[in-house]
Amino acid sequence: MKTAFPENLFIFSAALIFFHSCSKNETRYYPDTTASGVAIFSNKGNNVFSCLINGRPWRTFDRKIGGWGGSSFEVSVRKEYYDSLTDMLIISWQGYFADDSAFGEIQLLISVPPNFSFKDFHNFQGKRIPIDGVTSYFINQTNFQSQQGSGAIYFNQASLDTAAFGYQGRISGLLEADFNSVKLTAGRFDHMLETGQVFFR
Amino acid sequence: MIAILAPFISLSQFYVEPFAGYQKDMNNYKSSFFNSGVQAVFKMRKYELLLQLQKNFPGSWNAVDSAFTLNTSLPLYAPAQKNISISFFSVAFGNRFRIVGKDTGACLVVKLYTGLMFQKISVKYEYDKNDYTVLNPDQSQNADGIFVSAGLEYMWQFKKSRFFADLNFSTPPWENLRYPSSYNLMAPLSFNIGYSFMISKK
Repeated sequence: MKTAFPENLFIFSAALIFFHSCSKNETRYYPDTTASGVAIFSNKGNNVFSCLINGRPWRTFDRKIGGWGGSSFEVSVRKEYYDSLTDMLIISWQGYFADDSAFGEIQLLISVPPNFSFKDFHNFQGKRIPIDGVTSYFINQTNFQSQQGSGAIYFNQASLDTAAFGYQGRISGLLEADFNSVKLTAGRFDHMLETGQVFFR
Repeated sequence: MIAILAPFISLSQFYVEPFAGYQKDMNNYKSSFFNSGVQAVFKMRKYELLLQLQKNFPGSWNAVDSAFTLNTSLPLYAPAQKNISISFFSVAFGNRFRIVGKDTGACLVVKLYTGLMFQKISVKYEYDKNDYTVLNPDQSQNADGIFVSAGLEYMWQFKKSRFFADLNFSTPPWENLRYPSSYNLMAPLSFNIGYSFMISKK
């Protein structure tokens, strides 16, 4: 019995190392040398969104697959009921300021008809879409408060397909938003979407 | 360096060989260069030891990337002209083996080198940088690492000098680019001509 504690410690340590070593970072952040504080604009599945919020660099968390605590994604896409005539397509990015690791979120809510399906998502590809701030809008939750704003988004890629347990696809593009006192500029996003990131009601 | 080379100089015939030529980059098909170099040659009994310094005159090529804007008063897409320039410098040790021919007259030789190569890739864009953002942009970067090269050489031997023409292929330096790029590290296929001056006789 005297050796039980070290044995348990050994097993616990081995398990910790095993699970930690299984964790895989699937984000590739390549800094843009022409715009300080943001990543390059890419469509290679780098799994990162970055922008400047009132000039402060903000970026999404790294995508971690497997390992201790399970997978964590930096972006999700979902379609939710809004009212009898409208659904909302919601893209949510979770991240932090480069100079402050506090959790924050930026959301884009696009008004779509209730019969909007994953196949219709492809219609956004190659489009520059103005966001009026009323029927469709951005939400900024990066400063412990929620602000609604207008702006624009360009989808270089927008595709979804069915997968074994849901959907998978890609999104990439540019965005900017105006929250009156807060301006989001130089936004660029590039994500592979996996099962567990896409929810269509 | 002189101290290291002194024993070889005393034990062998010593040549200095300036050379120049034309290179085609086999990893970036749009690029070709002029290059020049010099090598010190220590002629032993059955082979020659080579110490080579080589540099190219930077070559460049133009390409177009896609740039996009969210400004609705401007077209969504605009071409972004880019100019990519690659230059390199290498230091290598090598061997020269005669495979056909004799000590006098013409002969065919094989050359093998290994050494360090330094490459510098410069990328310059021209587009409206205030309104547009380039998709998958290239970035300037440097790379250095070990490389190997091999070649065939035809040599005309005279009493106190030699003239040669060679075809040589070099690998790129053993290093990965830090950024995803439309270009690759340079792997030059060179055609050179050179002259061999005898400096000392054994």
